[in-house]
Amino acid sequence: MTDDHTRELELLAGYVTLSLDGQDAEEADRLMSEHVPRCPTCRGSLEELRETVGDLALAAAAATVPDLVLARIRRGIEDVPVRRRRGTAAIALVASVAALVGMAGFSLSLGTRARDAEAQRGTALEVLNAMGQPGAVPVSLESTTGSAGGLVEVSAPGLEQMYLYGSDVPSPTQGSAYQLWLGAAGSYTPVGPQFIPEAGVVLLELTVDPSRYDEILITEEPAGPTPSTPTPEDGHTWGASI
Amino acid sequence: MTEDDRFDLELHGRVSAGDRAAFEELYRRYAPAAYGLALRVTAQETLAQEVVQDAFLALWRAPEAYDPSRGLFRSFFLSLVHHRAVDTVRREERLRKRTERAANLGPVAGEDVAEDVVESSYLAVRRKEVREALETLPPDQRKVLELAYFGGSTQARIAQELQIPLGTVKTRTLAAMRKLRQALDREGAE
Repeated sequence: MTDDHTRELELLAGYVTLSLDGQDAEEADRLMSEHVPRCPTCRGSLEELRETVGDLALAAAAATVPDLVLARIRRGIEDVPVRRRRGTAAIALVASVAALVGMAGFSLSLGTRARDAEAQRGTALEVLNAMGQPGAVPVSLESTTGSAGGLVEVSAPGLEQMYLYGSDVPSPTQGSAYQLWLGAAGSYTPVGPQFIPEAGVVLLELTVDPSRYDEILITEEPAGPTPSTPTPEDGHTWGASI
Repeated sequence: MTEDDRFDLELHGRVSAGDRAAFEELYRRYAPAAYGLALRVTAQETLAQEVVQDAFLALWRAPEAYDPSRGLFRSFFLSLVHHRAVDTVRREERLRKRTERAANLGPVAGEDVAEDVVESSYLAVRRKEVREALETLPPDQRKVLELAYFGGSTQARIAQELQIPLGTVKTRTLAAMRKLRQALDREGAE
């Protein structure tokens, strides 16, 4: 973090205008998930920047929308009312997540306290919310090490959030923790804190733009500072194309 | 927060309860602005219509995605439209052609000018304020901001196109955003 937050603010300005790519985008994702939630200066600046791009949108001339657009929207509403009609896998996922809303056990982020029950329910409801977005697709992660446990990633176009849900996930070995990575063109970025399932359950909410990545990977890493690239030698590993 | 902003909040609350009349009122209020923005970014009527359609359906299906504590409904919704428009054009790989067109704020082919469009008067007033505020930016800062926001260009691409260092693009983007905010705050105070 820079003393005067200039670097952070430049990243946030690029973030809200959707103009970052490469390392800057990765750094902004880390900033959004790790620094901004704890920094009042950045939170306030982010709010102002978002308000500014909201205003900037109005600089484009308004245009008359063809009637067919409203007709299509009305049909869309009739066809798919609020939070209905999803694929079989999605329905199963929603049922699982809904069942979790009342449970106490969720993954623990290393270095942080377990979140309270209200926040846990909130995250579970966010997953349900993500499932309601047009184009939302749950992606099942395959274990590359024959590990038990199912992990599912949920994201939706236009949503700057990604959710990871899992049950019956085995605990990592003593002194290790899991790390989620997102990959683009073979290059991986660690996203979010290391975590350990609690009672086999994982439920993570990550602030990230999933559209920039094509792969998701979860590896078992030594607990502590996250390496710059995945270094799984032993232990469980899951992955999928997204 | 203005009276219109409060009305947006009321409409959003009703949409959250499944009120279709409130949803259509929000459509009436924001569809022209959303379509204008999507047209500006995508430069294609068909794509712009899909963006608007997707954005409104997303609002209907998951109204909870808007958190009133994080700002105005208008900012949230138009940012949603912008995000989808940028996603769309990047997916369609039409960036270069569109960037050339988006470098100024003149209307694109097939786009109506604001004066010909039935639109909420408060949005028309705000539009005028935003355009006046944009005029106050130094040209080099304005250019970078427009290429990023309306052109959908990445900062790296802008640096390449304008033949300036990437760091300069970052600096100008932030400076432009700050000056625009200050100018808009002044306009709002007058």
